[in-house]
Amino acid sequence: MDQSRRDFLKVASLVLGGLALWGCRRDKNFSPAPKASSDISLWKFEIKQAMRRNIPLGDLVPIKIPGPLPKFPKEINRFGMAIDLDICNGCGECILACVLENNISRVNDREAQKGRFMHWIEMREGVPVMCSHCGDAPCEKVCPTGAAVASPDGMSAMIYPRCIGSRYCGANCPSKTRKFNYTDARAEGLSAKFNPEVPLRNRGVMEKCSLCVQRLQNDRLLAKTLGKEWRGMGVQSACAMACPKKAIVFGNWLDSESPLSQAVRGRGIYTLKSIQGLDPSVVYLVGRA
Amino acid sequence: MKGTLLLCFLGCFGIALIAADLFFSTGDVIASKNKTIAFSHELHGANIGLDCTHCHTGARLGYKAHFPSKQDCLDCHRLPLTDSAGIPKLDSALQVAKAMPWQTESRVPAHVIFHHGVHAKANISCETCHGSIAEIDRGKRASVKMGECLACHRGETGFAPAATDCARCHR
Amino acid sequence: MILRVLFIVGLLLCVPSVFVLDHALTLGPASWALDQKTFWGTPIANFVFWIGLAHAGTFFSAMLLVLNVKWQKRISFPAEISTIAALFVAAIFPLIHLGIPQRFYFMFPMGLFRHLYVNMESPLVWDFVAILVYLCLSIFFLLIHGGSLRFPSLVAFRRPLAWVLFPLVLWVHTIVSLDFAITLVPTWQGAYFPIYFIMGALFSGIALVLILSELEGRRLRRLEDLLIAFSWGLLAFWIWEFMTKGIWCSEILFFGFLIPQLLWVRPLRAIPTIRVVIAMSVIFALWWERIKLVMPSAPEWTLVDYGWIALGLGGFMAIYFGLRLVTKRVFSDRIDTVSTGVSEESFPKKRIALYWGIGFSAALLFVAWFMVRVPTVPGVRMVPVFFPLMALVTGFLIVVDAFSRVLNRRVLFGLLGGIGVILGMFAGLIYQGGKTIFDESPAIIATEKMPESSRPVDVIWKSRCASCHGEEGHLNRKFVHEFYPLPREISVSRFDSLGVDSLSKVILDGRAFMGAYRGRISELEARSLIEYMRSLAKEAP
Repeated sequence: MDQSRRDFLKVASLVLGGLALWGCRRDKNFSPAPKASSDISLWKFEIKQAMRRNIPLGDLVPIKIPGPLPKFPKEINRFGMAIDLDICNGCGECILACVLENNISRVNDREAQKGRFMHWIEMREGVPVMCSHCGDAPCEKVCPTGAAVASPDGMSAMIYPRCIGSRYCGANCPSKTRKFNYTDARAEGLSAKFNPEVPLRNRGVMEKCSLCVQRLQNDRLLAKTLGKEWRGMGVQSACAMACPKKAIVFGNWLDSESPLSQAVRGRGIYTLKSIQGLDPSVVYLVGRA
Repeated sequence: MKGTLLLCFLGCFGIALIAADLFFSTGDVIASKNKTIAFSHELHGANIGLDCTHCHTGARLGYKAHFPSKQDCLDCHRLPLTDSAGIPKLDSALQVAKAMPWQTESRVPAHVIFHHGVHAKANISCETCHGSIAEIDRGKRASVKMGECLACHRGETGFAPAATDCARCHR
Repeated sequence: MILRVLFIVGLLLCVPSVFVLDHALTLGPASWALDQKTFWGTPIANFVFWIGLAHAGTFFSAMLLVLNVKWQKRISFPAEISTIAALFVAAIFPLIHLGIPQRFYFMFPMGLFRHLYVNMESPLVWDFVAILVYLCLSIFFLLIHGGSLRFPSLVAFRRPLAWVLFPLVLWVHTIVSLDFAITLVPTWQGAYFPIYFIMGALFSGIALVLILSELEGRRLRRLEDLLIAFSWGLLAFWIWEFMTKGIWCSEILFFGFLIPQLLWVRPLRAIPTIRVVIAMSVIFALWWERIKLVMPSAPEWTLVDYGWIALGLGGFMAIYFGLRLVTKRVFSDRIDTVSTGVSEESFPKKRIALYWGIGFSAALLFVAWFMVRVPTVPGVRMVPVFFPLMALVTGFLIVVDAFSRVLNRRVLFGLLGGIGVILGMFAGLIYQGGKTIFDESPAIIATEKMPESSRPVDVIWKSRCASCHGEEGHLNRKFVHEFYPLPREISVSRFDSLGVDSLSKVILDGRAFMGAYRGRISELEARSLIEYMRSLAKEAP
């Protein structure tokens, strides 16, 4: 072999070896994962941090009371919520309840600095904003794999194992209430399974308010096992349960006896301007009709 | 010569890969921690007037069918039941057994909801998914492959079609 | 000589992109400029940019061939290679953009074992299919062109394939533009987006081909004329964007419109360096325009965002100049000369029509199959994948026909068989899907938490009592008769005389051969069981 070729091979193998070693720096054996903590005060602190941001709310526009979904005209259930802005004082208890119910993870410092929190409910100018579960959801239309689907019960469901993280749904959501898992919270010790009923999400999937689908599922399973017709009476989402002023009401838009239908009687029903024509299931109540 | 050697090596490597995939794949193999008491479903079946829900009490209403605890076995086995030679052995094993002698890992992943109760209410017999008693004694376990769940839910196996909406079974 | 230098420059530029890729793949989308309001970032912008450049190659080889423009022959081969290079670079970006890149195969529109189907309403699926088909057909086109130097009879097949590729290019970039135009994002609205994107792609592509030709010492005056013409065309769109959406970006107008006007100045136009600089300015303007389109208001750029530039440039240069070096060595300078020998009219028209027909039927079959499996998809949303699939089948048939004339039958079928087997293996893997994830304890379903008093009493009876007492209370004779001394059958009168209290004590503390159930059955339940047993006794004949 030529001398120069030999030298080249020496240098090349050294470089490759160096690159290989450098690539090992993220190996679990060399940099062990930080210990996970279930201390709720850490989450409370982060929620306070998130609430200090100034996120504009935009206009609220009046809409008609939600009715049956055009895609599922024969369904007897359509779940949703009404948030009474005359009562709500922006305390943030709903955010904490949602975090504990749905095992929402914290974020590390880099993410917090960039404002990339994972809370499904965001406080904008004192108003809690979460996914509105639109009847004509733009996110469901553009998801390539079908991870964002419409449930006949009125929920806009999110199926984590099917999500590939294209974030098209997030880009197309006019209210920007979807959250992307930028980090692997479990590996960084930032997530805790407060609620054994809800699975933890891995890095690279989108998540958002699920209308506490696990509570609805449990209630429906019980009713169906006992052979009863199910209208979801008595189910409350975590945020509705936790609100100290009872400003959030959860219920069934298609059931006249549901607390939701009763709460909106005679009230002005509003939604965010950006989702005006999309038939949201989560609405705001302001003043009288 | 070198060519054949290379070919053999690649062949063995390929076989090793396939074998590893088959034997070490998660999800379809359960480690049953029950090693000392060999339970025979055949002895505890219709011949003594028992059906599945007598011991697997959650199967009719709950999400898990449950395994019986030692106390449940003792409800009947408090007395020597037959003259068979296995009885003293069984009694001594029961004496030292843990409170829950049978444990298995659930084959249902965390993002899936499977509720036994709603399926029992829909008149689906235990044998449909778990197989006959003889098959269970031979080690058969219910399949939890989504393709097979959906085949039933779409009405392709003769049962009435059920929900195929994702949010019914996934969280 | 210059080819070798530029190839090495390309490789050197790839070095920082290795680090950037490592960062991007290990940290994921967290490592570049995104947040919870801006979800599409620099990878998508770079993707659109590079796809646009890929289209330019096809424009110069296929489109101009179809339109019988004579001078395109001189640049068609480099143009085709630049298409391949740009496509490979472009294909990296959507994969990196995904949160879970290894799940990219979920977008294949085929049935899976889990009975899941892609959402055909989503432009990303159309994109995926169209770009895959475009990649395949561009490779076919290059193969035919390269092959025609060895086997002159293949020249006759260039035109039919160009007729497949030409509409496909327009279709692909229309789909890419629909990725944006179909959303509700205010700055992405516009029915003119398809034409806008195609014009932008061609504009940047002309500049690229101009640079590539100049680098090899070849001047094509037509390209300079086209550059000026397209700059005016794009100006119209940019003014329209300002009038309809208020979008105004001075840098884009300066580098993309004003600088190319320098070509009017004859002394300047005569200097090769000036021409290359103007072309580079155009490319920069259009790259910046894509960035501004995809992320008008974005968080701060990180090193990774800048790194994509190195990845794109380095990758493209390495692949393009590498391929040029290889083809120059294999074919020498013949490839860049006008190819002739066999009349281009001598392709079998009827057979090509037949292939189009087969392609059409194949695409129709697929659409029909998909709509049967997924009844909820609106038929109109299947249209965007119809033509790419038709083009794929037709193009494939043309290529097979072409090579069957020049290759040994056995070789050809062996090759096709091998490719078929490999594709089949991939299809099988995709059909099986990924392994189920079991890294968490299973979910608990809280229906178990029924309050004590509401555990249905007949369920307790059935599970705890029926094995001896029988389901209807008449003793399980199969069991008690065989193994146990008979318990007493209790009539209603005996029930009443014994009383609920003493009988529930029997349940809780046991008696004779009956075990104690205290701790497993509550007092309330014991009393309910007695009532239930009494009701069963009542029913006894």
